[in-house]
Amino acid sequence: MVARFVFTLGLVLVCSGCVTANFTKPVASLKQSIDTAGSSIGSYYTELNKYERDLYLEGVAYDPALRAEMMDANGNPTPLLGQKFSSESIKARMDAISLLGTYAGRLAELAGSDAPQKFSSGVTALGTNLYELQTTFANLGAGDKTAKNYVGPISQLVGVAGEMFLEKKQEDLVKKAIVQGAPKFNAIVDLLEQDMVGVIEPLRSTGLKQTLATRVNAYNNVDGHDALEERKKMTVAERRDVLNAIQNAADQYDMFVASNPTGVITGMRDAHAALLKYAESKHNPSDFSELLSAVEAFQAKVERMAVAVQQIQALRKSK
Amino acid sequence: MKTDNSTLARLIEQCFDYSMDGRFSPAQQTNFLALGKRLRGCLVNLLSATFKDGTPQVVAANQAIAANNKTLSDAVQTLGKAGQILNNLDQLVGVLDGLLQLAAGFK
Repeated sequence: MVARFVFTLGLVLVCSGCVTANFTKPVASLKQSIDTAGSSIGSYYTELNKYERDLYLEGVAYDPALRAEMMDANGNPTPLLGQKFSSESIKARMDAISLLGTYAGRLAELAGSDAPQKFSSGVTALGTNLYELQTTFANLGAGDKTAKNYVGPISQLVGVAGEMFLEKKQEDLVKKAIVQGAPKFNAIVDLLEQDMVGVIEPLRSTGLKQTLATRVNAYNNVDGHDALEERKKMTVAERRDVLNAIQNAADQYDMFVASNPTGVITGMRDAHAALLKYAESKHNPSDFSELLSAVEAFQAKVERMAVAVQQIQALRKSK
Repeated sequence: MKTDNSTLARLIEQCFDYSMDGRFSPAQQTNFLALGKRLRGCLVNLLSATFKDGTPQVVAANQAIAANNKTLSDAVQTLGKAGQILNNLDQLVGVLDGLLQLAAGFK
């Protein structure tokens, strides 16, 4: 009877203990993904002006009628030196991205620092104690004359329970940080999403399509006519060079579309929403698996985007 | 208020697509490319431009963007009326260029 009580108590404590430890992995994973996403998304902001300059020079290169100028005929600055997007605006966005990373970092520190490790080892100790207790009870005679044998394990159990009480406080702190941080986090993510949908994606998608169309037209047409004679004069190797440039542009466009930066931001919001939901839940296994799914989905999107961003940068450098 | 930049971006991409579309003549392709570039130049400036709410010229410009986008999304229709559609796009560039004089601010 006593054994069953102690065993049940132990199981309850072990299970409730898993709750605190459960924050550690998803929060650490979320932090890592937010850092990677921030780096990739940030590159779109920092490259805004450079991208427009590259595109301007690309247009000049393919059209001999165009001159490379700092100001156009109407006195407006061209992208050659003009800053279409102010450095203050770009810095504000970078600061916002950085803030998300800082928040995730603090959360990870809170959820995964020294205390949870102690807690984890406490759970292990508790399991060992329970096993030994079981063995002890199995060896007991019908008269249960060795009650003193479980005084030690129970006192250890009480000690672990006390530690769990402290960890529960820590769990509350993590929960509080998530709940209080959520509105700010969402506000920043909303801002980034608006920028991505309203500025970054329109600029990049039209810019990449313009590069592709410019290269294709330079190969196909000259002065509004089919450039058949010009193509005939080219060697196969020369045509291959031009077609490689077209392929490069097509690859960049495809990769940008596949990288789906807006989807990454949406995934960031979903993952944090799942964390908030979990923090406010009763921490059932289904709550936890829902959280893990959201974090993993976000992680997968971030990884795809990070790879695509690197490949696009490599393609831009190669031509 | 702002111009409908998402629709404008789709419109621009459609221009570039037609500039690489073998159903159009080389001259039409060249015109679509040139207009796509001019419209993108407008987009770059309009992305950061804000206007006073209810500015009639912006409302009219957004209607023109939507109308052109709708027409352009139908390739068969565009093929049949390419000359007129290219002319409409040219007028749209003028409308959007004019808007920048009215911008309340850039941010």
